[in-house]
Amino acid sequence: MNTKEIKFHNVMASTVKDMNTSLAVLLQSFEANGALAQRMNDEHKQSFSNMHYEVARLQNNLFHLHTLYRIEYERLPLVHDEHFVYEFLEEQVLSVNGLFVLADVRVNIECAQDLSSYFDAELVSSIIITALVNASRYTQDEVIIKALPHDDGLLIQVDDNSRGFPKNLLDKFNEGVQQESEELNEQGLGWLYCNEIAKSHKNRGRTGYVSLSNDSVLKGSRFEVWLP
Amino acid sequence: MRALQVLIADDFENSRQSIRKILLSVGVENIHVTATGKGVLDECKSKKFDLILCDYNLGHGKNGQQVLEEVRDLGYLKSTALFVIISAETSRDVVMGIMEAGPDEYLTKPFTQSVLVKRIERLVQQNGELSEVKKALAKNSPQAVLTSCNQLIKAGSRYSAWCRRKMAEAFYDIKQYDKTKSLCHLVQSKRDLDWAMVLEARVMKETVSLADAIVHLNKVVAQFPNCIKAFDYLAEYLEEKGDSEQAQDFLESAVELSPRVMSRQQTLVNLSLANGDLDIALKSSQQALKLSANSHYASAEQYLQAAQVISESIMGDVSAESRKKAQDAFSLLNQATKKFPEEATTKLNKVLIESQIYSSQGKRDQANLALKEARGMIDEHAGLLTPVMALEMGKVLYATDQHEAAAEMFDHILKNNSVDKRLVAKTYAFLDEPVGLVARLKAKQDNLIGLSLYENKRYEDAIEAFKKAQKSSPIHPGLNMNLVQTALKLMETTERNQSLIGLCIDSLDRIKHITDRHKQFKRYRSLKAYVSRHFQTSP
Repeated sequence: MNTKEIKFHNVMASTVKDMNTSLAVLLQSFEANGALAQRMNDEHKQSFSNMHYEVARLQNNLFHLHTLYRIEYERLPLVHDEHFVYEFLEEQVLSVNGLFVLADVRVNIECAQDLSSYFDAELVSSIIITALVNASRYTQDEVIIKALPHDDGLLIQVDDNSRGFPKNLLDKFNEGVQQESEELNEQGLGWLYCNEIAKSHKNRGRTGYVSLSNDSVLKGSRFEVWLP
Repeated sequence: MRALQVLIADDFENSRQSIRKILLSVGVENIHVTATGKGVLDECKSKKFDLILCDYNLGHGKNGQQVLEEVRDLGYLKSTALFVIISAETSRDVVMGIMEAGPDEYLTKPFTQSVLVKRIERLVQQNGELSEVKKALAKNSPQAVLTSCNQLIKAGSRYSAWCRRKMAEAFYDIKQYDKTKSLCHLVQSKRDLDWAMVLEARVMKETVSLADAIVHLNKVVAQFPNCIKAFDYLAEYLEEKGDSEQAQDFLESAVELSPRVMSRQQTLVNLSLANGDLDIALKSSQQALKLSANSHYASAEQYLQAAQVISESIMGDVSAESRKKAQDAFSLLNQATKKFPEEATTKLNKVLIESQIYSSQGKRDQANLALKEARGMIDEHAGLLTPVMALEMGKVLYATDQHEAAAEMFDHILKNNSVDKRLVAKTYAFLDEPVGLVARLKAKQDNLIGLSLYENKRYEDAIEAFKKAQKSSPIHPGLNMNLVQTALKLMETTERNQSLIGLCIDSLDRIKHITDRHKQFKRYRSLKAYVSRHFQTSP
């Protein structure tokens, strides 16, 4: 890289960090004011919830962008450690819980307490958060997160009782996954990012994947990630 | 949670208070706060905390990683203390550095209140279950680690996987390699694990061979390109095998992966110096110096090393630029004795490097003066003349043309069987090529040209190339023996030739400093035997 590029990359990296901090402060105040929002009238509550949702999405997208940047320019190290899956999922739910509380959504984690698995917690967290933020937006009132050992790996499913993924989104996603096409529509971009992260998890010749369907046990949409 | 003694360290008042509030809200009563690394050290010295939440950025002084290294090293932590590093930094350098320091937990900012609380609750719960193992680890007692881990596994603990790792390491420590091996095998039934593969390689080194261990480590780095330990061991093993250039390659990769560890930078300085790679030596010695700021592990060593590298880099170069570099080196040496005024070895080292620099700048009088000062110090304290110092002293004597006195110093090392193998190799490295770096590089190039000509069977041209190399580095064993072998090869195809015979005898005569502890001794012995048998010279 030349000096101009280095300068740009440094500015970019520190700007992202700075934006991330701002968004974190925002999210923290959304969380802190959750109780207050509960007492608002429906109209205010709805707009509070919208703001919270958009900020959560912003932060998540920023994280995606930053991760892709680090993969490209910093050879992002994958940290495959053993994690207890239940605890991991519980933390993910907690970090976006405000969204669920406000929308009166019941969230259940179905996972054996002592199930453990190997993965990069930070990266897989960004996948699950993407799924949860999305579910919080579209589900009616229930979300089930289920994790189980499957096919010598770990399967995590996020089911909701929304109206399901629109057919064109599913088509686009499957097309994107299969063809690795260069042109992506913005709608499916987040999901394809998730797939890339899942794919970066490898074990003995097998790689992870993400799938989207409307096979939810709650008759809504289902997000699935399998990690080897 | 209630009874926990907690310390919060963050240079921002807001962050300190927000974490404090979170902890107060879940009933933690004993909370101390501090803004600086020094504050953490002071607090930990006077009080035994259960939990330390330490931000990576602590203003201008020590960072979180340095604080952790220091409190551990000074024994300020109790064996069951939890040290959590919190950081908003995501750059690879920082993350790798923190990981290598090994905190109990690493938490990236931002996090929500509930996540922090959950994390702490779990850490405390886990710590309770593993307390016996942690105590055993702190006491450095493998036997106790094995016993307590076994108990946990038998009781069906959810931390069994962690226990098996600790057990595998403990078995290695007490040299029960078979058990280490079978545990590594067991934990890898479903997936390869970097730590287990590294441990397997270490076992191979002890029970099979160095070469097999190196092959295995190569597999680890191919599969786990971030496994820093594998790079470190590869470099170490390759150096032991005598392949110091490849060792340097791997160590450079390790440094690139995790540049913030001072000791690794210093190892790289030594290795690259030995390989004559001054660019890398300069870079890593400057890095080590930079990292020594605020570090508990800072010593005169980093200053001396940096000055030494500069001294090597300007050997025989009297340009204005190199005079300026010499001044930099002098200033580093002065800082070394200023910061560590009590150390006699540091002073001696300083004076020796000064003499070396004066010599290489053609300032004979000043070089001799510094040498005299060094001699005075040794006369006063004979204990100062350790084998390591003897090598430095010998080099300086050689530089001031006192070859006999220098030889005496080298004998000090080479005739002493208790001296470390690496120091012997270093001494020979100097004896083989007591010339400046420019000459060394030129010789190396011509030698390579000679080798490729030899491979193409152009023996006469090869001889000319080796002769050219010989001019730059007259007594280098490798190239002199290449010359001999080429001359012998040529005589196989043509007839005996008195001038070629003379060349062989002269070349072997140049390298008679080789003794049985030299790595090229066998080759030298057989060539010498061959030449004297066939050409009837006296041995």
